Amino acid sequence: MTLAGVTLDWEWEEAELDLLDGPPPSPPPVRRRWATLLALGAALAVVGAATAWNLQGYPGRVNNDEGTYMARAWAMLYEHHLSNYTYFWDHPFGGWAAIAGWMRLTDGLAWTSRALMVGRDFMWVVTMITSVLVFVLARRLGMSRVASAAAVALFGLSPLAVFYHRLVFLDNLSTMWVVAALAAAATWRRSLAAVVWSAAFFAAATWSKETSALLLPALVWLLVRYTPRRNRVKYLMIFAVIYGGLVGMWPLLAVVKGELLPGPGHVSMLGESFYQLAVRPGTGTILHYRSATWVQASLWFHLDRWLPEAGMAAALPALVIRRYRPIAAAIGIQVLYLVKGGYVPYAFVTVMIPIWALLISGVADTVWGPGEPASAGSGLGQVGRGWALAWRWTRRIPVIALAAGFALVVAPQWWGSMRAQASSNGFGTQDQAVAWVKQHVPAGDIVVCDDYPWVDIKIRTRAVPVSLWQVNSDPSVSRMLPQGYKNISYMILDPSSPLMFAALPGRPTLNDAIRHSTVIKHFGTIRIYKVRVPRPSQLPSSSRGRPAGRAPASPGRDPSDSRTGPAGHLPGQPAF
Amino acid sequence: MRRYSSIALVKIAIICGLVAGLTALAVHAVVWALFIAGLYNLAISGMEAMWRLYADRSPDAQASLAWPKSVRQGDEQTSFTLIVCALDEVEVIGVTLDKLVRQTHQRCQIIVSLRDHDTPTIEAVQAVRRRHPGCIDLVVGNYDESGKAAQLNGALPHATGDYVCPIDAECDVAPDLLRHVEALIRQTGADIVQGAVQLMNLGGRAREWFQAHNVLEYFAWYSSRMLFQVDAGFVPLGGNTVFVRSELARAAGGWPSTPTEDCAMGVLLCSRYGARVVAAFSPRLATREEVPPTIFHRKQGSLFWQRVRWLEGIFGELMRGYWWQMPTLRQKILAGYILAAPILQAISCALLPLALISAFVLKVPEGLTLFLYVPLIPLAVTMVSMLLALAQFGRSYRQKVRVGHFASIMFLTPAYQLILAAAAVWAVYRHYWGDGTWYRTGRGLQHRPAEPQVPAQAPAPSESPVPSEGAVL
Repeated sequence: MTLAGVTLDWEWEEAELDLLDGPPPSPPPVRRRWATLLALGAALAVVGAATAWNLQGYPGRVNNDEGTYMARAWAMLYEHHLSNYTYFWDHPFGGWAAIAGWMRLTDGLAWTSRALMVGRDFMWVVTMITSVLVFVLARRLGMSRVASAAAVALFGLSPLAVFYHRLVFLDNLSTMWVVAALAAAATWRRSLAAVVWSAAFFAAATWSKETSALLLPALVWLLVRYTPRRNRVKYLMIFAVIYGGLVGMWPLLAVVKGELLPGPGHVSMLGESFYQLAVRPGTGTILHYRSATWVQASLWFHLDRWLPEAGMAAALPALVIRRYRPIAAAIGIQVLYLVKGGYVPYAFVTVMIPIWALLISGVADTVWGPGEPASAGSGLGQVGRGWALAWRWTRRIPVIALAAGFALVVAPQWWGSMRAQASSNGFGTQDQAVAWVKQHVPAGDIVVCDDYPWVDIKIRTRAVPVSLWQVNSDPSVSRMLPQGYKNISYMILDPSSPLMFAALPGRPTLNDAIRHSTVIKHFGTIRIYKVRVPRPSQLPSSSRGRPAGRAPASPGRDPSDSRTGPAGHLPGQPAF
Repeated sequence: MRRYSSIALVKIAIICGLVAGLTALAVHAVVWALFIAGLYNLAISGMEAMWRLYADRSPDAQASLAWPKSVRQGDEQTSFTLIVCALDEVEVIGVTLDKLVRQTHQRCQIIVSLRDHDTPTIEAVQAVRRRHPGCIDLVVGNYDESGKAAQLNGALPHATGDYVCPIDAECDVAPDLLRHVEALIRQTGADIVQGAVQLMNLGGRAREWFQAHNVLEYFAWYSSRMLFQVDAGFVPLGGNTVFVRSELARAAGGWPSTPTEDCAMGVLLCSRYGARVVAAFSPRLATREEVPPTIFHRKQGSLFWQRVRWLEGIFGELMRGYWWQMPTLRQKILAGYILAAPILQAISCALLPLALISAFVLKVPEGLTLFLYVPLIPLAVTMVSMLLALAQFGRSYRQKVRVGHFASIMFLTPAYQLILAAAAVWAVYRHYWGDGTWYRTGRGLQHRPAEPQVPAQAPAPSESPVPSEGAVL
C-alpha cells in the first residue's frame, strides 16, 4: 500500500536503525546504579541549593506575568474560574492550573506571607524535577554519568538559569514537560508506551505554554530515530493522534463555550490568535541592533554570557554527531524564530537553557570518548596499545582545557553572581505597601495595583484590588468602575518600573485617576496614590454617571503580556 | 457452589453501583452522572485501543507472537487429529477435505463427523474418501442436541492423536501448519495452541460494506488481542485451528454443549484445569474463512445472527462464572472483562454520544466538558490502527484493498459498532428468554473465488449406509 512508501523515505538512517533494532541493552548492575544515584544526587543538591538561595528576594518585581499567573491560579481554586478576570484565550490554562494544584496541595497561601512565594516554591520543585529529567535525557542520549551530572549543573547553576528558573512563569512548567517528552522519546526500549508518554508529555507542555509547540519537529525527529522501523508509521500516527487530540481540547473548549469565532459581546479564541499572530507588533529580529528582541537577548547575555555562548558554539559540532542532531535542531528552531522576529516572549530563553546544557555536555562527552576503550585493544600489540592510549588522552586535551577554563574563569563569576543576588530583597517595598493597605484602607475600597501584589491585597486586606492592566480593557472591571476614576480610592504604583508606564497609554481612566490623585506614601520606588474625588455638588452634571472609559477595541484583552517597550524587559534591579 | 458465589458478587457489585449512583444523583445529579459516564467510556475505549496495539507495543511483543520454524518432515513426534464437523455442507466439504489431506505432517488423522440425516454431505465425503483412500475417517452419528459440540464429542473417542483440532467445513488450512504447531508445542509444552483464523473477503459491492470491518476484527483479534488473552492466561478459544491436548479434552468431558462450544472449552480449560495456552500468528499459516455475505439475511448467511449466537455463548460463560476460578485477582478481573467486553462496549456505544451531546447542551464545568471528550482520543488511536491494519492486511494476504474499504472503515465504523451492540443486546435477551436454538451461519464461499470447484461425484447407491451413532465408516 501507499503507506508503506512512507517508510522508504527514511532509509538514509538505516544503518544506525539496524543497530537500534537490536536487542535492548541489559540493565546496569546495582553497583553502577549507586554511581548513577551519586552523580545525580550531587548535581541535584548543588542545583537545589543554588535555586533556593534567596528565592524570596531575587529576582524582584521584574515581570507582571508572575503576578498574573498567581492571581489566575488563585481564581481557579477559590473562584472556580479560569482567570480572576475574563479568560480571553491568551494562553492555555494548564500552567496556572498546575500552580493552583500546588497551592491546594501545600495550602501555601496559609503559611507564606507573600502569595507569590507559593509560586516561587513551586518553581523550585519544577526546577528539581526538570534537573532529574535532564539527567535522564542525557543518559538516554548516551552520555556518561559525569557528563549527565555536568549537564544538570550547567542547567541549574548559570546565573541566567537561576534568574529564569525562579520566576513564576509558564515556560518553566512547559520546559519541564518538553524535557520529559524528549526523555520519553529517547528510550532504548523502542516501545509504543514511550511514544504515548512522549505525546502526553508534549501535550502537557503545549497546555502549559503554547510556544513550546515550536519544538515539535525536533521531538518528531527524535521519535523517528528511536522507533522500530517496522512500526514507525504506526507509532508516529499514534503520536500525532494523541498529541493532536490532547491539544485540540483547547479549541474544543472554545467551541463548547461559544468563544471560538469572534463576535459581539464576547472574547474569542480565533480573535485572540489573530491578534497574537497578525496584529500584535513583533519584537523585531535579533539581527537588528536595539530591536526589542535584541535587547531581550542582551539581557540573557548580561545575566550570563557563558552558557548561551558555549551552548551556541556546541550546537554546531552537535549537528555532526548523530545522536545529538535532534537536540541541536531544537536550538536551531529557537534561533530561527529569534531571527524571524515575530513576538518574542520574555521567557523565550527558558527552554533553551536545558538544551544548551545538554549540547555542551554532550559534545564534551563525545570528544572525551568512552571510559574504557572498546574490547581493550585485545588484537593490538604493546605498541598499538600505547598509541591507542596516547590518542585517547590527546583527544581529551580540549575537554580538560575547557573544564579548567570553566573552573578558573566561569565558576568564580557564577559564584560572584550568586553572592550578589543573595542580599537582594526585591519585594520588601511591596510587602510594606500591602501592610499599609491592610492597616489604612477601609473595607470595599477599590485599590488599583499591578498584578504582583494582587492576590495579597485580595486575601490579606479588606480592600478590593483591581489590576492596572484590566482598567479600560475588561468589561467586568468597567462594571466595577461605573463612574470611571471616581470609583477608585487608592493606587499602588511604581512609576519607575515598566510594570506601570507601559500600561498608561490607552487607559484614560487610569490617566484620569493619576491626574486627580496625591501621592501620600512612598515605599522605595512604590508610591501610594490617594484619588481625590470631588464632592457631588462640584461634579459637572455631564460627567455624572459617565460610563467608564472608552469601549475597548478588543473587549477583555489583557495587555499584560504585550508590554513591548525595550526597557520593559530589563529587570527592576541592576542584575549585579 | 462457587458459581453461585460469583453471581452473588456480581449482584452485590450492581447494588453497590446503584447505591453509589443514587447518592451521586442526590448531590450533583448531572455532573456526577456525566463524570461516571466519561470515566466508563474512557476505560472501555482505552481498553479497546490497548489490546488492538498489544502486539505492537514493542519489538519483543511482536517476536513473541511469531510461529517457530517448523519441525523437519519425517521428524514428527506428536500426532494430531483434525475433526471436521459439517452439516449440510455438500458444496464446500469436498474442497476442504481435498486441501486437508495435503497436510505435510506425517502423523495426522482426519476425522469427518457428520449427522446421519445429512445424506448429501455423507455422499460428498464418501466421494472424497474414494479419491484419497485411507486418509479420512468418517464418523456419522445421531445426536439429540443441535450444535457442533455433539459432533465433536462424537468423534473424540475415535481420535488417536495427542492433540485434537476442530476444523470448520469451509476452512482452508495451510499445508505445513501442523509441523509449525508441533514445533511450538516442543518449544513451550503448551496444552492448547491457538492458531490464527482470518476472514478473507473485503467485499466488493456497497451492500457488503460491513465485510471489511469483520475482516479487520479478525485481523486485530488474532494478530494482537489473542496475545493479550494469552498473557492474561485466559483464552476463550476460537472455533478452529485450536489444538487441544486430547487427554485434557477427554478429562474435561469433551466440548461443553453451548452455542459457542469453542469459547466454553477455552474458559473451562483455562479456569478449571489451568491449561497453558499459547498463540501464534503469521498470515501465511492463518486458516482462511469467509465473512457472512449479508447482515440480516438468515438463509444466505447473516453477520448479525452469527454474532448473536457467539455473544449469547460468551454471555452464558460470563454468567456461568467459571472465570472467577482463575488463580489471581488480576486474572479474575481480566477474564471477567474479556467475557463482558461485548456487553460493556454495547453500553459504551449508547453512553458515548449521550455524554458528548450533554457536554454541549447542558452547562457543565469546563474541566468535565474536556474530560468527556477524552475517550475520543483512544477511539481515534483505534481508528488509526484499523486503517493501518487494513493496509497491512492487503499486503500480508495479497488482497486488493480499495479506497472504498478505507472509506468504509473511516466513516461506517459507528454503524458497524451499532450492529454489534444490537447483537449484544439481543444475545442477552435470548440468554434469558430465548428458545435455546442456535443459528448456523450460511455460506457464500466468497473467500475462495479463484479456486475451481471440485464437483462432488455421485456416490454409488450401495455405499449410502444408515449408520448407528458414532459409527466409524
